[in-house]
Amino acid sequence: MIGDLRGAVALARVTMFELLRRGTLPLAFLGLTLYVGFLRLPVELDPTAARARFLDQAFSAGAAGLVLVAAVAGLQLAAGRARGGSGEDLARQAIGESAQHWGRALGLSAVLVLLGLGLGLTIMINVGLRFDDLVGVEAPIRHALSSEGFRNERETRFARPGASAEALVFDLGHGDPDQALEFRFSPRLLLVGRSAALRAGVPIALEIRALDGGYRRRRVLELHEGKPLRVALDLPRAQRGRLAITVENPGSGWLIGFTRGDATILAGADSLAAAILRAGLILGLYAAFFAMIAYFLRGRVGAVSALLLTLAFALLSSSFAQVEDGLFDRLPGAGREVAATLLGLLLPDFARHDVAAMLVRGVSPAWAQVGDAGLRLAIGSVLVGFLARVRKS
Amino acid sequence: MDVDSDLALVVSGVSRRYRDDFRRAPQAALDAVDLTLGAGEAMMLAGLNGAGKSTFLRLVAGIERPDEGQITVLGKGPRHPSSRRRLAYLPDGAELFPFLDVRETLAFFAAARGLGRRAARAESDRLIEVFGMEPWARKRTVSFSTGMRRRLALASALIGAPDFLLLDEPASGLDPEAARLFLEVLRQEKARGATILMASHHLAHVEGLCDQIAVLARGRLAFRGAVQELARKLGRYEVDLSLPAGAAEGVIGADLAGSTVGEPRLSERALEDFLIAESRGS
Repeated sequence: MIGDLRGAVALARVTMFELLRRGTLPLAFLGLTLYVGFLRLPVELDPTAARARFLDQAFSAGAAGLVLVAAVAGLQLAAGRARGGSGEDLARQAIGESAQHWGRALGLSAVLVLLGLGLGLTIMINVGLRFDDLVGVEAPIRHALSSEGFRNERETRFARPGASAEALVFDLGHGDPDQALEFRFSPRLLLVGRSAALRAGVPIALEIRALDGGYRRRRVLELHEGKPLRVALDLPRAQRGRLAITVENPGSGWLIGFTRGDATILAGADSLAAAILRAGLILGLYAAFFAMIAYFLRGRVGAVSALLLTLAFALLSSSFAQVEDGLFDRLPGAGREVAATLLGLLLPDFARHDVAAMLVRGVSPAWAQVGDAGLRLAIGSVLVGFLARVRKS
Repeated sequence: MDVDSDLALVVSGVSRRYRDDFRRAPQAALDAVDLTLGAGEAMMLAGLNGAGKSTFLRLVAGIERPDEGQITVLGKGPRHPSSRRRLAYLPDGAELFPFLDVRETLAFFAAARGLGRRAARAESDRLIEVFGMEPWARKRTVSFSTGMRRRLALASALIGAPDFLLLDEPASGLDPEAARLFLEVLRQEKARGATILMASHHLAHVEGLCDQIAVLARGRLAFRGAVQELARKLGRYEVDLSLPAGAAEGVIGADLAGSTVGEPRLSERALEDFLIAESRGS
């Protein structure tokens, strides 16, 4: 068993060399880099917004390109396996079919994570050079990857003035002691019509409670339509477990509501290197997931079908939020939670990243999504891989 | 003592069928083959193209599973980890990992056979020297000639001193110098105690190595025994004849005084005729 594991790791290393030296992946990577390099956006009016847009587009293009590259690489590798040949046969005899199967998959994943890291680095360098501000990229990263924080998942609405919204509960883990926590809150003002009041701002009250400790704060803030509030939380590190935030409408006469994602807990800005590593890792892990799908499906279905299925998977997973909203709201409570968790484990959603945080307390929120992506890759690909092996045997 | 403990290979009633088109019935590549091979013996597996030699080797190597029958290699099933580690398989064809260099390729197979880093390095150095690959040690195999690829493939199979070698036409496509090198290396492996099962069409490729021969024809075992036994059965021998200088012309019926005659051995042409006859079922 240990010998097989060693063999699988050795084959993973061989697979990495093969993929990286073959030229297809480096060329695709070069294409993505050039695309990012030539991505032209107006910067003269509002450099901050332009930077954020640049990052949004670069990461979106990177993700799309990498998924395509991943699918093609997965298909290529699977085609080689199906074709056989001396190398494949020798490897199969030496380390066993199972170790060969998983060794190839591991190598493919590792290559795509590396490419993701490389792409993240390329984007950061581009941003730094373009905007002449290598240090200042931290804020745009946080903006572009707004899923970095923890967001409310349910839609809440004040039925009448004077009522309280249901408490929003965030599971923060204990996080990095050096990170400041920040709360971003952007509920929608409903029944808009009184422009004077809008300009003056609408008072709302926030009650923030740590469910695992004695922390409790009440703040009254002024809310302006379309302007998210950012509130620093002076929450001691020891109490950063589960945090409940209740929103009150103290009787302004306005109806206030917020939809999924309007309330966000953001981890504070961290180093540029960490941000690069994180963004690249996430891109790479998701790409590796799609590569696994293509790799495992090939042999079960034709190459074109495997490619289409992978791309459909990518499309479906990127719109997972919509699927979940439409599908799960019709299910009763417990069933909904179970179904959502199962689907959440299988389908990587670029906007959800709470699984790792739920499982591994103490992981800082920003890194939780990396863990989440890794977890989905591991669980999803192992599951699909086993299905492919079972069907084959 | 268990009789089977002296046997490196026991194959009983093995059949393998392939379906190349789902509308047609499966074709038998191997049909109820029984074969044994003693530990430390070397056997030539002869047969025309399509006789089932490669399929047989793939089954013994554990790369494919038989449809019927059982195979025991070194006391276990071919897919058992302990058998796999002690067995080496050299497939037909020479394409290994085209984007790895010689050292990287050998390092992979060393790791696959469970060798530590230091032992792997020493073993790689030894095999690179044995096969004369020093100038190409850091070159990727994609640019190698067929002969060089076959050298590397055999070196990869031999890494870690396996107890059982399965070789699928290792010398095919090699120049005479490389073919002799292969034969010499394999003789040394046999002298070390390794069991060898080697598919080949040519007696010259197994000369001085294989004393046993199994002939496959149309997926069935047509003969199994000593090479000399087959020669006696066929009644056709060949010898090397060394003549004095100037005596080469008009040798038939000439006085052979001063000439030397080698050991009689199975005639290559006789074996070819036998393979063709068996494949036609005549």
